[in-house]
Amino acid sequence: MKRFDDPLPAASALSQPDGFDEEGALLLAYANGDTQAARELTTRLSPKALGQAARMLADRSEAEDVTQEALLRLWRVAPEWRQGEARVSTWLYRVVANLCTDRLRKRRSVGLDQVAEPPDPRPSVLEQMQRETRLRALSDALAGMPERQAQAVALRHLEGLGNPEIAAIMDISTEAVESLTARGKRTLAAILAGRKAELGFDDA
Amino acid sequence: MREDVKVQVEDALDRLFAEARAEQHVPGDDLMARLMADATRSAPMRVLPAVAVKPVGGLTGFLAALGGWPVLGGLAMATLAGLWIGIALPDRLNDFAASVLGEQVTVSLFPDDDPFGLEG
Repeated sequence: MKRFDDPLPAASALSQPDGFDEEGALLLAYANGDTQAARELTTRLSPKALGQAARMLADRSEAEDVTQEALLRLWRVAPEWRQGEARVSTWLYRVVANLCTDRLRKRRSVGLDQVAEPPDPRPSVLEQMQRETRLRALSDALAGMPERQAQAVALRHLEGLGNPEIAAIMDISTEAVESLTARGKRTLAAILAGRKAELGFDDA
Repeated sequence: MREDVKVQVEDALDRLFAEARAEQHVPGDDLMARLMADATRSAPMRVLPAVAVKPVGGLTGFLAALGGWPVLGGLAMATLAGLWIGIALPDRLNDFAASVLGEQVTVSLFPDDDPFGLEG
């Protein structure tokens, strides 16, 4: 499978001339020893990375680890960062998506249904559990898909990104994004159809 | 998959996506502390370009040892002042000594008397 986590991708694939990349400027400041820039970047980027990872993995602790790993990689590429070639936000989406599919792959090999805790009967807890169960089922279904499809579906439907941005993140054409998301959504529906009852959507 | 089931599942899927998007994920203090610790630990060290130190000798080396050209002006001035004091000042130095000691003092480099009695 083609990987796409090169820290410094081709300029043509990632450059987005619209708008100045403020986060790129902060990263350069960090590379020049400005620790305040690191604080600013952490404040800006960590909610994004954590949200993306948590939506894909449906596991807070794993999402935090992915966030930490993604930002660590960002600090490491900082000295080689070239403003104008890639946007930091695009780079981060890519790295987080890759780290998440790595973890989903491991989850697949461990087995999907090994965690089954008895539900706490209190209504509020039950409601919370059901939501968590549903979101976990979605994440497990992503783990059961081809990785590129899973990434395209997650970027489109969990992050709400447009096709051009997904194309830049995944380093493919917008047509390829459309094809991947369409196939991905069908695959996901097929996987979840078998688990509809536990998803709490019987009333649909 | 039957068409009605497919529509049902896709509707359910869209709601599931919406539910996932609506979740708020705010980094806690503990995570922020971990992230900042990483940022600080990974902070690139600024590497200054090495400045070549070449050995110098001769006049340049001598001047460098004194402190460079700017020092030379002061040095020349001090030399001239010493010279001027040596040539021009002895008379006034006598007056100065008289005013301090209260009597005329003659300082001669060639005494008139004969300290060693060589002249019989």
